[in-house]
Amino acid sequence: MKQLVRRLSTTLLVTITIIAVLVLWEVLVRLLDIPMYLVPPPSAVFKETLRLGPELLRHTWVTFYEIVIGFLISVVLGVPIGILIVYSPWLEQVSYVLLVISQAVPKVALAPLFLVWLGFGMQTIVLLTFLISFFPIVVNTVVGMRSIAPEMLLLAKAMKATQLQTFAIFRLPVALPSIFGGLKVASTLAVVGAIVAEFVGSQEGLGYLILSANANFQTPLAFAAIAILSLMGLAIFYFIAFLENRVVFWQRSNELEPEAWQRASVGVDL
Amino acid sequence: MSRSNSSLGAAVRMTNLEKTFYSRTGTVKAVEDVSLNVAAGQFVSLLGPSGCGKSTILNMVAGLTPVSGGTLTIDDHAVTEPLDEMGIVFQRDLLLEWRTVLDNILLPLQIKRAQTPESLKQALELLELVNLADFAHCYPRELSGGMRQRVAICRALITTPRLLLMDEPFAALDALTREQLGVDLLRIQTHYHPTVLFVTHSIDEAVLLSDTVVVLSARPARILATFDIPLGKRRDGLTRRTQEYLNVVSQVRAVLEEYAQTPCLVSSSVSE
Repeated sequence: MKQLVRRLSTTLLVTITIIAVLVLWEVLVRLLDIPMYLVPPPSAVFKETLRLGPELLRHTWVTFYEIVIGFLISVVLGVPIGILIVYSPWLEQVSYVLLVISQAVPKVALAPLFLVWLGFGMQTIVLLTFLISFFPIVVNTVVGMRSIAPEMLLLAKAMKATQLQTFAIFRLPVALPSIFGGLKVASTLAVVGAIVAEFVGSQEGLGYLILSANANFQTPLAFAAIAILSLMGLAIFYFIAFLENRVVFWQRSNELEPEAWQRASVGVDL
Repeated sequence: MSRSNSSLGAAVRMTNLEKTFYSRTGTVKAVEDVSLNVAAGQFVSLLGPSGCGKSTILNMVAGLTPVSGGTLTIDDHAVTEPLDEMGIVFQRDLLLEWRTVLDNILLPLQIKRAQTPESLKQALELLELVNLADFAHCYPRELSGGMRQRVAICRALITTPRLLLMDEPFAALDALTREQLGVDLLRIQTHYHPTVLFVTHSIDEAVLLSDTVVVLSARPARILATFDIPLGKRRDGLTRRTQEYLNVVSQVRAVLEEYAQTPCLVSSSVSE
């Protein structure tokens, strides 16, 4: 109960702060008479959002779809690869080095090449989204799988657990908090990946919209797209945090704990 | 929970037992020439300074670490893998946070696919024995350190083991909890009659709980002295105030102090 009250009051505080900033922004823009193409007031952004509603929705859907597909591919490949790395000394030696090297290459710089190879379209964007969000998932899976206490493995051995039982009953649950940490980082990176990929080569999506709006001095539209993008990123992040609280119920974490941000900063490299 | 008084325990026999670890920095002899007979149903403590290799002996008996030299048998069978009817308790309780107390206790049976409708009743009886009956459906994080370790002991007992191995099980607990758990353990041993091998660095604990206390040297672990504890089978917290108890404790302490004053030969145990 006490916690609920505290949570609610935090939410209230955040809401009030956001509203205050928006109001201040509106007032300043009007008082200083800043031209619309430089910084539009929030009301103009809001109006633009309503005017272009269906169009915005279509672009939002495209970007959302790219992010989700790219992210899901990196989860489906990243977690098993992380697990295999822990189990196979050979794979560890080879693939870890390869992974780190592949991380050293700025993937955004590869975007034009992918465009040449895969052509204009969704496949290129999904690939780049996948590449950017893949690494933190692998690394966090490896870290999580390794975080098991040596005595815990002795206990499993003393109980004569099979390899599969040791994995399913002991190692995987121990790794889950770290894996979810990786998923949260990867989800934010996936958003970045999709937008950058759209900048480079796309005719649709929010990234494309931002670019074309800028070119046409439709700054309110660009702001609207950015706002939607931010909300989308938040929604994806909190959805994963929600899943985390359900799955890793024994280790309830506040989504905004400092540790989560430390983890986040590890994964960010563009 | 009545059981015949005939001993169900396993007999452990060590003859010139040795263990050497090989690493990049050289070889370390952890256990040297340890010969010890543990009769079925006996409670034997391995007492020695921290990190002296007593846990290594325990791990060898558990079948978790291979023997380097000498022989080690349980009921006249050489140890090659963990005994099926064995329970083990470590210093950390190692409870699985995502399982309830009850599911943690049933874990060894689930792993062996030996869970029966009877098992549940048995688990609850064990919890009763350590005064945790009301916590069967709690998660470990809701329990205190002492309660968690009691659950770990129940988990080790669910298979009605003939051999109970305990590696400093109370070392992480505060003094009062420690005493209480010692008394609990004595009560458990009168219900079940497993052979108990108990590793500790606490003289008091060793003397209070054991039939035999084996005092070990620091690395490599060698037997310095063996004490049979003449305190009878019925012991509780009050036993600590008896003269016999105090006498044995001071004898054991004397052996350890004498050892501590002899020139240290640790360097000889590490060779390139």
